[in-house]
Amino acid sequence: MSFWTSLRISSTALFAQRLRLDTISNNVANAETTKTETGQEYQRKDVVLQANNRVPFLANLMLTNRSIGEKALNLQGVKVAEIKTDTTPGKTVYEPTNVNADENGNVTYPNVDLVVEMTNMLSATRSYEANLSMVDAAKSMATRAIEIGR
Amino acid sequence: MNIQGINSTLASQVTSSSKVNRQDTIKEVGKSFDSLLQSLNQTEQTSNDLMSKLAAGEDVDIHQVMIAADQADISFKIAIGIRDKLVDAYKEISRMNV
Repeated sequence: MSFWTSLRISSTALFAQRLRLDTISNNVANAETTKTETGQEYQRKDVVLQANNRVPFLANLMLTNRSIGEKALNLQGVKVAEIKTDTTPGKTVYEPTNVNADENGNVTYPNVDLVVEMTNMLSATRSYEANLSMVDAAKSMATRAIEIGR
Repeated sequence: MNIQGINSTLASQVTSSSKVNRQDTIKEVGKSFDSLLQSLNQTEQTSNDLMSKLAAGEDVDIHQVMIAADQADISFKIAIGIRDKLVDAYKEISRMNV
């Protein structure tokens, strides 16, 4: 049903934002992790969002089971293309007592900036809410349409 | 614009509708309502499956479950709307003076 299209698109966005929040909480959780499996300090992760364009141009025109909206957009919402690792170096602190300190007594802390993470968290939350409003709008449109002729 | 006289359109409608077997028309309406109910059942089933998965603690997104529930809800409302229309039509005919 063509009405489900907007719901499906919003659903992909909700999923993407939730995954983004997952990476942010992972960053915050590892804000002071000086050692990971590779022996290095933790490096912050970030999601890369991409428009979900599933069908090639000509195939899109030939498809019969897609609604007009889907054909016109040829989009199926958003997807997480990859989870990128931010490789900017973290700050090095002289801390000889730390177990992970190198021979000079320096420890490299992760490149996680809590202020940045908090801002991203707010952004993800707001974006999630915006997409929830889209779901609500789509639903109320459908509900109003059912009331035609009543 | 081509404006037809009322008589001519009515007459053509009457002749064309009398050709169609009435029993077939009623069956056709029943059939389409039946398939609507079947798809409603399916949406309901999907929603139920997702809900039990969520309750069981499986990896299901909350929004996915809620959207499925919404879909089931709207499908149900559509079915009710169509049922009301059918019943209205039936009542309208049963009230007809013969």
